[in-house]
Amino acid sequence: MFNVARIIILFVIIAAVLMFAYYLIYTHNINKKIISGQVSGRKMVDIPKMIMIAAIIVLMFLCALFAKEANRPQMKYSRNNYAVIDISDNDYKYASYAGSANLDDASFAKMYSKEKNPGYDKEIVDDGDFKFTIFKRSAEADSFHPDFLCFVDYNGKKTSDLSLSISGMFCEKADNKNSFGTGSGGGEIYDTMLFIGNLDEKSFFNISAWIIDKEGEALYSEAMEKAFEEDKGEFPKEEDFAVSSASADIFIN
Amino acid sequence: MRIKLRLNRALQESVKNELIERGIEISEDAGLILTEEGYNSGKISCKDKDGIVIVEMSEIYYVESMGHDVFVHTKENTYKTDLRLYRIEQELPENKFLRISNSVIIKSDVIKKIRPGLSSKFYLTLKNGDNVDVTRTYYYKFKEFYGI
Repeated sequence: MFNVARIIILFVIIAAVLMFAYYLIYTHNINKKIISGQVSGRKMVDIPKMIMIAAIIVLMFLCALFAKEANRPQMKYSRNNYAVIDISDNDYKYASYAGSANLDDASFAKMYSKEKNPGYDKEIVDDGDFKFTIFKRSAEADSFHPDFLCFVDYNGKKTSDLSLSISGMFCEKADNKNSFGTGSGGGEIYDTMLFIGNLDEKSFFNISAWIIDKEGEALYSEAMEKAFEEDKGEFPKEEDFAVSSASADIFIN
Repeated sequence: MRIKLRLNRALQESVKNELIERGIEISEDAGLILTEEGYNSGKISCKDKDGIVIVEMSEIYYVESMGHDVFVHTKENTYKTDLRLYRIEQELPENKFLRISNSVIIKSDVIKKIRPGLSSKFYLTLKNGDNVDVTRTYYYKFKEFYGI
């Protein structure tokens, strides 16, 4: 809506400037005609008619703008490049973005700096091949800024037999249990990933990332089969078979 | 028979000749007056503090009524007249004078500057520095007169 207001103000200013310019031209024209006594020649549209025409154009523009705005889906986040943004659930509790740092796209990452963000405290967690650059809200909460941002950088090897798994989970502070979240596994290794989200007082957000090779995947599959056979309700974690893994917890006070 | 003629210039000579041919004497002292409809003597009788003043129509910048009084404005002076505004309007030549509001008639070539209003009005500054307004009722007549 803010952009719409800016467009309206800009349009009205342009219309007013054009109207003023027309007023000056019209005044000059009629003065010239009256002083020269020349009654023939092309008549200009007079000011009251021009005001009416301008008002109709402005109203039509505003109607079109509001109609377009009303038909736009209500998105809390940017629609640009949404194909590479994962939204955890319909409540939009958090979003993650994964992409190459060299990719020249329009994304959430463009809105925030990895160096400094006003209203946020910065914290860096180096864990193996992964670096977590965490920004926690220090300013008062509002509807437009997330409680936290976390850039996850991978600085390790990138070969064809390695794949990246990463997950973002909301956990209860009281018992460390996962409440909900999403993850992806066995995918392409990205240079930079970004997590954005909101937290309440009872929760924290855990980001886990690991790199696994073909051998690790095979061992993990075997261990899973064995766990199913034993049927004890205990299952292995994939990150235990990873060549590199890292984790960071984000708390908001 | 003696007749006094009050005719506009266009008819003056032809009527005069015809009457003379018919044996009628034309005299300014005659008690019988032949007056053409819309006769215009080119002068308006006005008053100032010294008495009666005859103002040539060519000298008039504008005529204005204020309440029950009618004032004739020239380049430098203002005179009061007993004539009503509508009567003066009838006497003034239509191609040279123009009514711009219920209370003002201006001479067409005395406008120095014109400023359009936003609501079907014009604000005029005359060559003698006086300001008069063209009201909504006379807005389109004014535009048509000047072709603006």
